[in-house]
Amino acid sequence: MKESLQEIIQHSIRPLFQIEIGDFVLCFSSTLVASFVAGVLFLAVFVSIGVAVQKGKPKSLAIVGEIIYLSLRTFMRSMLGDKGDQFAPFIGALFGYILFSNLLGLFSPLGGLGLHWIVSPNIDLSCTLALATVGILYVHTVSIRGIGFKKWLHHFIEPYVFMLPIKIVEEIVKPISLSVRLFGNLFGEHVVYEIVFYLISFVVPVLLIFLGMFTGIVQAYVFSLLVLIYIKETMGVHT
Amino acid sequence: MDNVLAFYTISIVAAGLTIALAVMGAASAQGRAAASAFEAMARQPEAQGGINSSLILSLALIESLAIYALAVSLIILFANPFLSYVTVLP
Repeated sequence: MKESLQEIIQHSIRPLFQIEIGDFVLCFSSTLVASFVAGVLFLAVFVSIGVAVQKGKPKSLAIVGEIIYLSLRTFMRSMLGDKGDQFAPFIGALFGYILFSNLLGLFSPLGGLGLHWIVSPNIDLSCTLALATVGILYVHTVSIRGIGFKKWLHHFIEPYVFMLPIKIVEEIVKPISLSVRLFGNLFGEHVVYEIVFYLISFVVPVLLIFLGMFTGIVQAYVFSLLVLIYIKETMGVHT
Repeated sequence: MDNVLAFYTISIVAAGLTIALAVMGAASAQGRAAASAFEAMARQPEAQGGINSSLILSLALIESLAIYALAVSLIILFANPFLSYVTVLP
């Protein structure tokens, strides 16, 4: 086989251009540019939906926006009760961004046309690690603000004091497991996609596109659901 | 050279065994989870929504174990930390 796995990795995550500021060299890799692209697409879609909702006329975009918001709010209230509303913006943004960046990976064969920045940014461990770090920092910020610093410290020695090391290890493992789950799923799928596209590029990749859509949606859902569950278990102890 | 060859052979076998064993366990666990979820859904069709969402969550949690094994086997194959010890030897 001509295209080994190493070549696929080097082909997918490649440096595109770099900016030199004095001694600093900022290297823009394809996944970094792809993450910007996913963010811009996400912003464009949802800002247009938001503008349509604010106009107050029940047109198609506004109805779509209301359906999305209502289903998000129903979901949040089923998880956290009345407190769920305040976390809806962050969880929704996390879900939407991860969904957009996963679905961007479906267009990765367009890289053959020279558009190397069309890959899923989540095939790079640094992107998923950044997402998971932001999620976990949000969990702790929200729980400190919600239940107070003392109670937040107290949840480490809940229910017994000798659980402290286990709890600390758990807090360290949380972002790692979140990021590696997303990275592994997306990367494995990307590799399978590239290999099948190289071997048979006729009809068979369509089936894999379905699989990729399913994986992308499920992984975005699982990521945001896990962040929500962490919020629930950090805050729910004392409420 | 013999050393390096043996090292690569063992690495490939270990990577294959890692992913195979992990996927065996994860597949049987996922099958069991899905089977009991469907059983619960058939017994109580009105609880479908809650069962569905927790089923997807638990499937993803089980799958993540297989994904960890995938990460380990990728590390063994492409970023093996002990490769430098082997190549230094005569």
